[in-house]
Amino acid sequence: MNDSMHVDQAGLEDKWYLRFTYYHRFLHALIIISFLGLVLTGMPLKFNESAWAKGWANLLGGIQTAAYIHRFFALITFLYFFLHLAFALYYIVRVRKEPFFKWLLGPNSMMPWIKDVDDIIAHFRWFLGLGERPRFDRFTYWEKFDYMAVFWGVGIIGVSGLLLWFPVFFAKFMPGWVFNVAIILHSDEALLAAGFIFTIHFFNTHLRPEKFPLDFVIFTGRVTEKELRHERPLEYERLVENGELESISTTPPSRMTLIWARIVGFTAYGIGLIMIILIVYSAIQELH
Amino acid sequence: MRPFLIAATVLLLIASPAAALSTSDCLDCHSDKDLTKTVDGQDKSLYIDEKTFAGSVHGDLDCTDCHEDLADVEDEHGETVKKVQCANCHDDVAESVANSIHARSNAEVASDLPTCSDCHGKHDILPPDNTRSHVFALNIPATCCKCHGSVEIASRHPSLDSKVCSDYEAGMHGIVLIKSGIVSSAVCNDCHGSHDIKSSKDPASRVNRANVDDTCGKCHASIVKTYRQSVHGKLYASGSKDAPTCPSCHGNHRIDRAMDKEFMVTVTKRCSQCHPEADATFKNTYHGQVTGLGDTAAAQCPDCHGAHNILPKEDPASMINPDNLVTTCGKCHVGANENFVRYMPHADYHDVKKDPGLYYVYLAMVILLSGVFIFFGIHTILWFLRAYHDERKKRD
Repeated sequence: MNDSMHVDQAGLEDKWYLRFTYYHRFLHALIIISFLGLVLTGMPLKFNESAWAKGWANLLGGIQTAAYIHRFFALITFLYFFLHLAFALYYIVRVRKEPFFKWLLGPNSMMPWIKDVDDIIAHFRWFLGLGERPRFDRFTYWEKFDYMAVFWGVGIIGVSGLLLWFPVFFAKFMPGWVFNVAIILHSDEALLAAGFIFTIHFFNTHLRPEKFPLDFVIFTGRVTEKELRHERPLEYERLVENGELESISTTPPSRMTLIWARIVGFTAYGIGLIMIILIVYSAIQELH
Repeated sequence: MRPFLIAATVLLLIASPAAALSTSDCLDCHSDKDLTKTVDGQDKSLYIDEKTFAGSVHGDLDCTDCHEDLADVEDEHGETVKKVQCANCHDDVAESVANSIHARSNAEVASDLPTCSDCHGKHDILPPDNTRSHVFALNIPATCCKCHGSVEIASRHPSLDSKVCSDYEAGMHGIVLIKSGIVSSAVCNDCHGSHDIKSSKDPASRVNRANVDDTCGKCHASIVKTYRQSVHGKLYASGSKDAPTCPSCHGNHRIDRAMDKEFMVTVTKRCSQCHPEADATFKNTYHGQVTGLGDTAAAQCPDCHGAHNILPKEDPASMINPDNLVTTCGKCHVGANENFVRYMPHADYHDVKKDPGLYYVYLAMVILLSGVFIFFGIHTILWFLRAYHDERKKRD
C-alpha cells in the first residue's frame, strides 16, 4: 500500500503531527498561484514564434493584457517573498531558542550544510543499491535546494523583472545595457524555474512512487507518525528525545482539505504538464 | 424575329429614296427595342438608344462614319456588318494599344483580349471626366475587373491573377476610392497607364522597378522625395537590384494603411527579408517578442529607423544617430535619458566578439540551466528506478 493511500484511509487510525503551520501553507498557496500565473502569462513571449503562443496570447486578451496579468502575479510574488522574510526575521529574533549559528547550521534551518552533502552521496549510493537509504532530518537536501532556488529565482527574476517593468526609472541610475542583461536573466531563469518545478519538484515531492500521486503535507500541514518515522527518522528521534513530539500532535486532516488539495494539486499538474510539453515542443522547433 | 426583320426591310425599301443611309434611316429599324440577331444561339439586341448615342462623344457623327462598310449601302444591309475600326480616327491610340500588353499578338487566347469597346463602350462612349463614363475614375476598377477579376479568364492566362481586384478593393487605394468616394485616389490606369499598359517586367512599364518610384511619386511626391535621400533611395539610384522600391514594403494592389496593425506586423517581416541578421537580434528583445506575437505595442523597425527617411547611423539626421536616440526612444519611453539609450536593441548575446559581456551572462545561464537539469535529471531517473523497484518488492 502506498503512503498517500495511507494518509487517506488508514491514516485516520494513525497519530498525526503538524509539519507546516497555516502561515507556511498560506505562503505556499501564494507561490502556487503566482507561479502558475507568471508562467502562463510569460511563456508566450519566450516562445512567440510558436503558433500556440500566439493563440494563447490572444486568448488572454492580447499580450498587453497578459503583461498586466503577469505584473499582478509579480506583485503576489513580491508579497510572499517579503512575508517570508518577515517570518524568517520573526523566527530568528523571537522563536529561535538556540544560539544563532547553532540554529543556522542545525536541523531547523534551511541552510545547506555538511550533512546535506553526505546525504546526497548516500542517496545516490542507495539509488544504485550500494547502501542504506540516508536518514533525513526535518529538511532534506532537495527540499533545501527547492527553497534556495525560490530565493535565488525570485531575487534574479524579481530584480530583472522590475528593471524591465520600469526601465525609464532605473535608467536614472544605471546604463541601458543592464536591460540587455535583465532580459537574458529574466527569460532563462524563468525557463529554469518552470522546467524545474514542473518536472523535478513535482517528481521529488509528489510523483515518485512512494508519494504518488500527491503528497498532501503542504495542503494539510500534517504527517502521520508512520510517515514521520519513515521519512525523517532523525527528526522523529530528536523530538522524542526532547520530549517535543507531543507539542506538535494534531488532529487528522479534514476530508474537505483533502478534496481541496486534490483540486489544487491536479490543476497544477495539468498546467505544468501542458507547459512542459509546449516548452519542449517549441525548443525542438527552434533547433530546426 | 426573322419575319419581322423582313417586314422592316421591306418597309424601309418602300420608304426611302435611293441614297446613302442617314442616321435616321438606321434608327428606323434600330430604335426598335425588340430588334435582335442570333449569335451563337443567343439573342443579341440591335437596339440603339437614340438619346444615349446623341449624348455620347460621337453623337455628332453619322452611323456610317464608323460603320463605313454601310456607307455605300442604299437601303438595306446584310446580316454581317464589319467591325468598326476606331483606329481610322484614333490612330495614335491604336498604335499605343498595339504596343501594349493588350495587343492581340500577345495572347495565347486572343479572344480574351479587350478591344476599344470593351473598355469604352460602343454607342454610349462618354469622355473620361463624365461620371457615367466606363473610364471615369470611379468606374475604372469595375471596367478593368470585368476581365481582371474573372477567375475564368485568369485560368487561361498564367500571368493573370484574379485576386488583384479584391486586393485592390481591400487596399488603401480601393478603400479611398470606393468607400470614401475620393476620385483622386489611384485607380488601375493611374499606375498601369491606359492604352500603353505593359507587363511589369518590361522596363518601359510604369510599374517596372525602373519607373515605379516616379509612378507613385505622381501623387506621393514628398514621400518619394524623402525616399530618394534615404539609404534605400540612394541604393536604388545606384542601380542596385537589392534596393527596395515602394512596392517592396507597401505591396502593390493591396496597399495597407501604414498606421494599421496589419501593415506594421508585415513590414517587419519584409525588412527581415533583406536584413535577416537585424531580425535575429530583434527577436531576442522584448520589442521583437511582442512583435512576434503579432502585436504592435512594442517598437518595430520603422519606429526606430524611420520609414521613408531611413538614414545611416552616422548621418546627423538619422533617427538612430547617437545624438537623436533620446528623442527616438523617448517617443515610446517617455522620459528616457542618456543612460536609457545605452540599451542595445540589436545585441547579439550569441556572439562573443560583438557583445562579450552579454555572451558570458548568457553562457553562465546556459551552464546553470544545463547543470541543474543534468544533475537533477540523473537524480530523478535513478530515484524513480530505485523507488519503483522497492515499491514492487513491497507489494509482492
